Amino acid sequence: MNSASHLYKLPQGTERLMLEDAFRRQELVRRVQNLFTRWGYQPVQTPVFDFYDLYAPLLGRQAESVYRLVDREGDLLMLRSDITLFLARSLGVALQSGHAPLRVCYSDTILRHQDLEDIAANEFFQIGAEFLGASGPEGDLEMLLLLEEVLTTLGLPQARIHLGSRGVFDAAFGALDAGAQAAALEAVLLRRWDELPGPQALRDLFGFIGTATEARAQVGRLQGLSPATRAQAELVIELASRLEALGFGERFRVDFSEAGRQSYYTGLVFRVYQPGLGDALAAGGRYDKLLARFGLDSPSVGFSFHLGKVETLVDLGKLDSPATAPGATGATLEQRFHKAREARQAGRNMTL
Amino acid sequence: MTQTPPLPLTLALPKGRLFDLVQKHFAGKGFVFDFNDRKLTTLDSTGTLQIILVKNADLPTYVHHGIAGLGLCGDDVLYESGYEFPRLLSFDFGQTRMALAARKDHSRPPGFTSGPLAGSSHMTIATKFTRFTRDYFHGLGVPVKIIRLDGSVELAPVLGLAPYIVDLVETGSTLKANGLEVLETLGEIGVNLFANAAYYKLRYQEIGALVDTLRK
Repeated sequence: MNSASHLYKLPQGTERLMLEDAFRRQELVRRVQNLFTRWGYQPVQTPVFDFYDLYAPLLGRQAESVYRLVDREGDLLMLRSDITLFLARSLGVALQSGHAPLRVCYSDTILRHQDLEDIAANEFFQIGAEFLGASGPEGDLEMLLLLEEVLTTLGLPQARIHLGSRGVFDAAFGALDAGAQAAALEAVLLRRWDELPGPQALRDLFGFIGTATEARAQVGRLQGLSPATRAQAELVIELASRLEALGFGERFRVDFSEAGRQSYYTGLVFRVYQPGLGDALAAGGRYDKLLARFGLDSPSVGFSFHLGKVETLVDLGKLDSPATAPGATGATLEQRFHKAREARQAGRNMTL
Repeated sequence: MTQTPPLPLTLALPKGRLFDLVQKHFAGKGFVFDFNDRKLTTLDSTGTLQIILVKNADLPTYVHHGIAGLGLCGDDVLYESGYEFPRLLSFDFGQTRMALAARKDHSRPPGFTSGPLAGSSHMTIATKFTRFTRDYFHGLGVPVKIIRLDGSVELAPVLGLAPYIVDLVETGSTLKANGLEVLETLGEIGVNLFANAAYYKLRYQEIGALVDTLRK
């Protein structure tokens, strides 16, 4: 292929945003970041690339889609494909065990080959938050309430947050060998109940979607669930009940088929669905053992938002775009400069 | 917070061999529809379904991107697309099978006559179903060279393009007419209703009701 054909071809996994589109992205990011600041989340930045071998065991199906390169010393590197992982490594090394609870947030580009199954297919920008050192349901609730407020801030009243748990899946299928567990996870995620091993009660549990009240009734009815599976399911229902009591019942649904594709999830798992989108627009959960992979024993919960997916759906209101900035009047540049400075001091855009 | 408006469910149906069977089956369950005046979208008689008619191989793409929330097609088409969807219902019509075929007088590769194809050293196969063929034979440990064709695959062994073909076989009459025979059935192909996963999550109650009606 010659350079002329490369000129018009876009490499897989890249995007370019120009002018008005880039301005909208910037505005969206700014609004979400402001919200994170109000909730006391501090910004962090992760490197663009890191050593591949640190992440290889955690990538699962994502391994096929990450970009790898070799540095001058011959080490294999990978480009940042998932900020959660890069953040775990950075903080895992920087923090000491027993640290005070830490709230962090990020917004950055990610680079990966487009993957058919990936929530981030066609997605190149991640914005998200993590609460480190937060064990138990209160950490989960904080993260879910923050996510709810992001959706409200973005003007997405129809978006629904589906709450599930890797804990329920592990309690039900943890005794199977690795291959059978992977097959059961696929069956749950793809709702292929005929391929799910175990009693009918498990199909009725993982197939359920509904409110906290409905979920409690459903789990109460099911015969043949192990006590551990039932206990894990009740943890999710309890979270949903508390969210309902706070007035967010419509926003959340209990959905045990949300078991999380990434192997690092340990408890709560959730995804956000929005009419008009063919894929979830945000995902998150609890990963209490992830940081331990990088030397820090600290429970953690977080979510990641794929902002590009909602850019066209969000009503940002009337934006004061630089594209519509009027030109200053005046015969000389000096005159125009003074005019424009006055306008800018009054909070208006103006070009020279 | 506003409720999702009660819009019809969007369903993609394939043009071609399945369409008449699907139309009849749905009419039997009370969902009557027709595509007149070369239109490619229509509403069914109950207002439950907004149906779009698309080319077989394009159907999974529409569902994957959520343009159609639901889709209906054969396993063969789904497999070739590489997409995976929640399966809602299997139908009892339109079944067929994926088969390996060759000329009646062809010479079989070593090891093949005794059952599993693992003894074969290399096979050249002409097919429309390249993904299925590659995965199937690689799964058996047989290297394959695949020649992709888009139609009249039966010609390939007759004219000498490839000794083997992998194709859908219903009655086998086309194979017979061209002097070919089925060597092995590689898979049963069913017809399924499936959903875009995100669409299902948002409309699960209506979709559940639809599936119940179609299942009765």
